[in-house]
Amino acid sequence: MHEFSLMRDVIGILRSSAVERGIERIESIRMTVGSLSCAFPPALETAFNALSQGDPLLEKARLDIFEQDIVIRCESCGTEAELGGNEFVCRGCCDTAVSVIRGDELVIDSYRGR
Amino acid sequence: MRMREVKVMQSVMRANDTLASANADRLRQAGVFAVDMMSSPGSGKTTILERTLEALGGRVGISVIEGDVATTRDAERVRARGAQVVQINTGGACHLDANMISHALDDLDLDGGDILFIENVGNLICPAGYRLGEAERVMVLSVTEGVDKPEKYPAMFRSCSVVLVNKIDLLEVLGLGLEEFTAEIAKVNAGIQIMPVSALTGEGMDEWYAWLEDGLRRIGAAYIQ
Repeated sequence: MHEFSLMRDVIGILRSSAVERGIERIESIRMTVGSLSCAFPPALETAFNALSQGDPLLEKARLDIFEQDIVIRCESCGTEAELGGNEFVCRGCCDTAVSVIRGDELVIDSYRGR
Repeated sequence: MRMREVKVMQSVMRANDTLASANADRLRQAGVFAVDMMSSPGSGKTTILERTLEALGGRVGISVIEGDVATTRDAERVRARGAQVVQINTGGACHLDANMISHALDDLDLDGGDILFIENVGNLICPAGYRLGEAERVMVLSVTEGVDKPEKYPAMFRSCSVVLVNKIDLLEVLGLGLEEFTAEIAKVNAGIQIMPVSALTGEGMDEWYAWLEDGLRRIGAAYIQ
């Protein structure tokens, strides 16, 4: 259930940004949610729908979530590739010393409003 | 008013990460080795802490922050073995966050050369997303949970430097081999240090104690007599 608390933080960040810029109504929000971020996009949407109700800044806003797949970089051969399946192993040389370079993010990219 | 697009590019976790860094600085400066312990409910985290208190409690100060949805049962167990304890009841929240730890640190009397265990809420999902200010992240996987957990919960297994594979005294009853667990763990994180243990019989626990003392020497060296 921590998507509700995450979404409260998202809304807090959006509200202070909107107040700073004199934006009164947000029409769309774009987020990137990595599949290693421990947040589930449908649950974030549910939380957003519940928390934006009756809020003049957000009630007409659409939430667009870009789901970022896991991308790993091999520490031996430098290959960067999406994770194929569930194993954290280099597709190039099969080495298991890999680091996650994308897929653990939970980011508010941008929003549109007036 | 005309439509505008605003670039934000801000991590939702930034506020938590900032507080976690402050906690980490505070603990490092105090010479305290902080370990975030994560696992499913019932994996044996508290029993491992009880054993650890019995083994190391006479030589080093051990403090515990206990995170649970409800009750002080775990806190009472580790307090009975001499630990200084702060209980956090999350009342439904599925993880601890850096703000909760910051407040808990205010209530602890920490000395240089101490180990601080943060026993997270039993959950293999959300706790992986929240940095607390720990020096190391350790997880416990008990063999009764089955061999499929690493692949099912990769974020947790990727985020830890050590996994204690607990309850190995039950492997025979379960008809499972330790190598099945180590192979499955290596699939998602080949770099994680695997320590097979039984908190019940004490098997394998010496390696865990030695790892803790190493960590303490790295951070609290100046304070150890």
